[in-house]
Amino acid sequence: MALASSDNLRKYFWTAFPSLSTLFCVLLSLVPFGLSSTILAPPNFGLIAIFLWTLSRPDLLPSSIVFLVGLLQDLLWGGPFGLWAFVFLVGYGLTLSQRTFLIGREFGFTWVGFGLVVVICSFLAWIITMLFHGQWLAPYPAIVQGVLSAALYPLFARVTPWFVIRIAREV
Amino acid sequence: MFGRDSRRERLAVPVLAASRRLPVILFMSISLIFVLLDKAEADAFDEAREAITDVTTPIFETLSPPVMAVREFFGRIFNVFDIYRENERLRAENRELLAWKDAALKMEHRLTRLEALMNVQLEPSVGYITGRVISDTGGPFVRMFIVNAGKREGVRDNQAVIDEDGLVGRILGAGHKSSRVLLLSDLNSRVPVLVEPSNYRAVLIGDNERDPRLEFLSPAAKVQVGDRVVTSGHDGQMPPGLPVGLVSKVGKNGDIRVQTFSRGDHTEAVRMLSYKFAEPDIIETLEPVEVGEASPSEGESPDDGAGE
Repeated sequence: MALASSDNLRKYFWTAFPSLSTLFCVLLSLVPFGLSSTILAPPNFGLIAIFLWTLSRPDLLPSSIVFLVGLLQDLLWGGPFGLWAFVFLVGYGLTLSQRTFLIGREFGFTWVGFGLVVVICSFLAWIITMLFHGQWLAPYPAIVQGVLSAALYPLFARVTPWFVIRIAREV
Repeated sequence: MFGRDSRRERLAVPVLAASRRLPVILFMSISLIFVLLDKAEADAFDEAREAITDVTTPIFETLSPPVMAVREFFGRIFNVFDIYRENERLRAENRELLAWKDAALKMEHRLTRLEALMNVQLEPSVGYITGRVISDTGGPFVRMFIVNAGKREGVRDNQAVIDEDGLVGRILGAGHKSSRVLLLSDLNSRVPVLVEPSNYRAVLIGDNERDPRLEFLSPAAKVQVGDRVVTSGHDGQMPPGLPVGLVSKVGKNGDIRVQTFSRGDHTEAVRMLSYKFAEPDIIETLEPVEVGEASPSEGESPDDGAGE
């Protein structure tokens, strides 16, 4: 009995793993690396997680979770509430629509794919923030954030398959 | 080959189904509605922000110290190469400061004597609350961080936040045990200041650049690079005279920039200032709750009789 329930628990954990890891990535972006007080911005870890999970297990990362994680990021990051929820969903929708095109290709190809998603998302965030505040904003913090996110992508992309195999085995 | 294709198809069918696309569009619309609501009602989501900051505080309190330690370690490594020169600089500065100390002590004596003669009402004392920076904001267009001190410790909205170099910003939202600090460079930051030595009034406005902008200077004001900028206290929130920075650029089209003393990138601990202004009658009618609680007990007695 006890064994069965712990088995169940493990199953639930791995089912929720894509959502939990995305949540963790959002929290990770707030750890004080000392970038926000300068003109820079830390990588958008949440977007990396969303892209990778949408490619590998979209069934375990529903749009409602992307929405909620985006809202959490909005609350924690400050700025217009709903901005990152929207941008995350755009990234999610884009990845989902191009998924059959991206999946099973060599690594460099998906990396470029992620780069494009980042460019579109950063651009959207920049435009919406400018509209929200009604003033011109220098785009370089968003560019820095995009470049950092793309640069750190391979690291996350290397780790993900291990989790994907684990999930496939457990769930 | 065959295996991969069939797998791809099997996954693709449910993914491309319209039933998956509809919720995405629905949630996108809700997000945009939230953005519009936030635009219409600026503080609509403040309570949610404070609540979530409080909830995540323990997580960041665990995550942050190791990161800080690593940062400090690398900071130290770079500092080692500079120690000799830094030491020389500090010695020179110390000699200079001793002379200033002497002057300050003389001035203080004179000032107390004059104040006693003129029966000046003393400036209220400033209370300090110290907090540790536990998280940065991640947003590219937000300059903010979170400290692990909140209402529990006496932190209130709009209090001035300083570090060892000068003004850092102000409290944007005080939660129960954590608070969000809005930096001077943030888009929403507005701080009334004085430009020394002539004490021109101006407002320091953040625009997401590293050096905030000086605006609302009178056209007659002559500002030069290197002029010192301090808080004026005209907002009724921050104590006057806090060091803010130096004028770093005076552009032809009125683009005046201030390099803040606090560089922020090495800030670990900051102090929130609880300060009560000298005119209790006026302030209390404006803000009955917040100021009353943070105030020291003085300031009431001499004024009460005169006010009635």
